[in-house]
Amino acid sequence: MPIAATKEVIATQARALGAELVGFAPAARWDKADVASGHRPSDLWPRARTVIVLGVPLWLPVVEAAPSQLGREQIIVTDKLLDEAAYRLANFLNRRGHAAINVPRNRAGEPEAPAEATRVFSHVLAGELAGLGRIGRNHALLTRGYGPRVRLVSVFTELALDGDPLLAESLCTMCGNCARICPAHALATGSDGKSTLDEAACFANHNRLRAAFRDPCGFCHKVCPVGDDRRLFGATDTAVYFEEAAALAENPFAPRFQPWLHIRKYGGFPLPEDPPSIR
Amino acid sequence: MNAIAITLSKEDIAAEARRLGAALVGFAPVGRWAEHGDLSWEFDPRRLWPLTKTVIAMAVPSLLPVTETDDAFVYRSQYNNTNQLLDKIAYRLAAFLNRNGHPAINICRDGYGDGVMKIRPIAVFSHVWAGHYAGIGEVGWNHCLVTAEFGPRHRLVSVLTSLELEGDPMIQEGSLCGKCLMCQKACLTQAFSGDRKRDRRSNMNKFACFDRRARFKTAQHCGFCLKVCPTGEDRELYGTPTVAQYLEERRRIFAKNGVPLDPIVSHEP
Repeated sequence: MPIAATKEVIATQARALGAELVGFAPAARWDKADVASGHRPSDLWPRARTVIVLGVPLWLPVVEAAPSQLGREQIIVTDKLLDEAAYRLANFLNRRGHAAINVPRNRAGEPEAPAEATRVFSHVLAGELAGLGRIGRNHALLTRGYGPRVRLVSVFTELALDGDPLLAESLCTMCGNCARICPAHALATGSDGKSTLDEAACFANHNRLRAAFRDPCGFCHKVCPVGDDRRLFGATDTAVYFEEAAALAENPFAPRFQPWLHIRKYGGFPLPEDPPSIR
Repeated sequence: MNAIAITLSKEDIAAEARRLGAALVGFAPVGRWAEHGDLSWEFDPRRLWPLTKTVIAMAVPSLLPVTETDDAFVYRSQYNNTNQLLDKIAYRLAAFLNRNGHPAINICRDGYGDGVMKIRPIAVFSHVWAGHYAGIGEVGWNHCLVTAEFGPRHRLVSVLTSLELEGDPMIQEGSLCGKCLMCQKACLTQAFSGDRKRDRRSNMNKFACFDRRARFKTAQHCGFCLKVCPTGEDRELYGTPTVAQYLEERRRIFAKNGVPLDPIVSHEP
């Protein structure tokens, strides 16, 4: 006999396992969304009725210091935490008689992963369909709490649960910061007015940083003005990211930028874009 | 995330850290770095994150019988597992503080990319000195944090927060490291040197320490300077109060690897 598991019970368990954000999306929402066949929850597992999306934030002071080895570690730690939380949440449901599977973090951009293998399931779209945020111009999930500075993972269950309300309004301000700062020039606007992402250009830059143990780039995440975390960390000014290069060229020891340079300097290999003061 | 900060006491934070798995927890006001001057300003926590007011240092033990095993694989697993546990504890403690409206970041275990240690064996932040200023232990002759509970047999991690908290009392100098020099004598690579009358702690040659992997097929994951330390309540718990046996083991390792005992090693990188 299955033991009743309400949304509240499941969300409480997810938070106990380390999730900071939890949302629920009925699998039927993928039928209405513009999703290519093969990438819906039911394509991976026909019994999926509900997708539970878990998220954890990345800390802005680390994100904005990228590219750095500390930023790389932050991703490794949060991805491990999410994968473990999702696996344990699936087992929590299975123990109660509700079949569930976790879909692990993908390895998008890793050299050993073939491109098609990285696109089996989008946790970003799942986050939008679970009401955790809205997809922005940078193709990331923008959340009220942390803007795009979140990592996501999903659990599928055969248990039918009410979906959380979708966010009605877009969070993206269309400021264009992400497209302007992107060092790979991967973000553009198509003729239909929609934002396009050149994944090959993005991955090529990612792999270059990865070889120096200083992935990911995350520039399109640090510049996003959305997110209460900007106020929490006292970093509401996004113009500073665009001023950095000129300010350091004028004064390599400009105090405003020394914390980022310090974080970039240690743990990884030097990169051509590093100022001479940290090589 | 709460727009209005929820009041948290040191006890609340320490209880959460212990609930998440930390064995030792200490609080260091950020002013202690400049006040004591052991490190240059570059390694002051405020250099990494200017809003820092308090550093929360946490440790989990490395269990002595595993640390002293000569099966390097078992010890290496313990090392990796405790590091992963610490990273998770620190991330979740930072999340706990941020969720309650107190800005915080966790500093991950000092990972280095493969080969980076050979060019720049310095981490972005010293968890050992954070533990020292947080009163968890005392930086000893072997450059490890010597604690009353586990000697130097533990791993450390740190969380920086802009929340001002009262510091824990620091350990009185010399009370945990008596400069017995057993770590220097037991070291497979003669990485420690110095004059115990003059120096508070040894000079450590990190390049010599890394070199052990090239010189010893066994003892890849060494830990001699940890297991040989006579300090720590864990010695009594595991019924291993003496340390002379490790010097005998050291002789066996040199013989087994065909390396002359006590070779003169270059202290240049």
